[in-house]
Amino acid sequence: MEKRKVILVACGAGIATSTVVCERVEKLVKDNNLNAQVIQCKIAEVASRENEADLIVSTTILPKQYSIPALKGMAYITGMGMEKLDQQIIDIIKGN
Amino acid sequence: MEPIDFIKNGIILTNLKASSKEEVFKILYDKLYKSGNVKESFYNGLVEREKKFPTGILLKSYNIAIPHTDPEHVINPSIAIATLEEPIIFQCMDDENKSVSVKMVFILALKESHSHIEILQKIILMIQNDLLLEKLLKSQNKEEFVQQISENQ
Repeated sequence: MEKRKVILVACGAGIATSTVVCERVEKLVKDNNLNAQVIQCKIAEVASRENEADLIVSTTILPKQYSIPALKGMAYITGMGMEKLDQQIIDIIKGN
Repeated sequence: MEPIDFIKNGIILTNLKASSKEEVFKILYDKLYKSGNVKESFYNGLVEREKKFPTGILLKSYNIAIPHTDPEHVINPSIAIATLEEPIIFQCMDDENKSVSVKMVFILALKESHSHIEILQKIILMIQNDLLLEKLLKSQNKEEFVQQISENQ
């Protein structure tokens, strides 16, 4: 069985914007039947978790280059470019 | 609690005169502190967090900022909103090289991640609505401000 992918949703304090983005990404995973789980965290925790994850979606500045793909999640906050971001996430999780 | 009630219970100041974001933080923090919703450490929490993880958001017509800090500084979940008489510069949340001119600030005092999803989603929807932001910026007092949001539900 294919291993479940892990999506880290991060923001500065792990409280506000990541909550909204998390909800949206969880819905995206469900609606598209993606084999993935979504974990909300602070940006400071991402470095220690990148080994167990497949994708980072962040609303804040990414402090470094990670070994896994990282996307900017601001589109879900501003409302601009949401569908494009949806597709980028789907493509990465599906391994396209 | 319904998001609109959460907002009604909060601090709302219109046409606030301030010349820096620290001044805006101080004024709104004082009210939150006096009403027993945040600890004394909340002000420094806001200032330090803003330096490290700025909260300016670039939108279509009217930019906003959503300063907030760690739950350890919060006693009761609450909100403090201010529309500014003069715009103040904030750094962009996702681009350290970009700054935005802001006339509306939403200070969020939240306790736990994932437990305030409705109010957060409400605020996100509000800020995506240019027409509503315009009306909010024109509001002369808290009642008008809240009414605009209610009418836009």
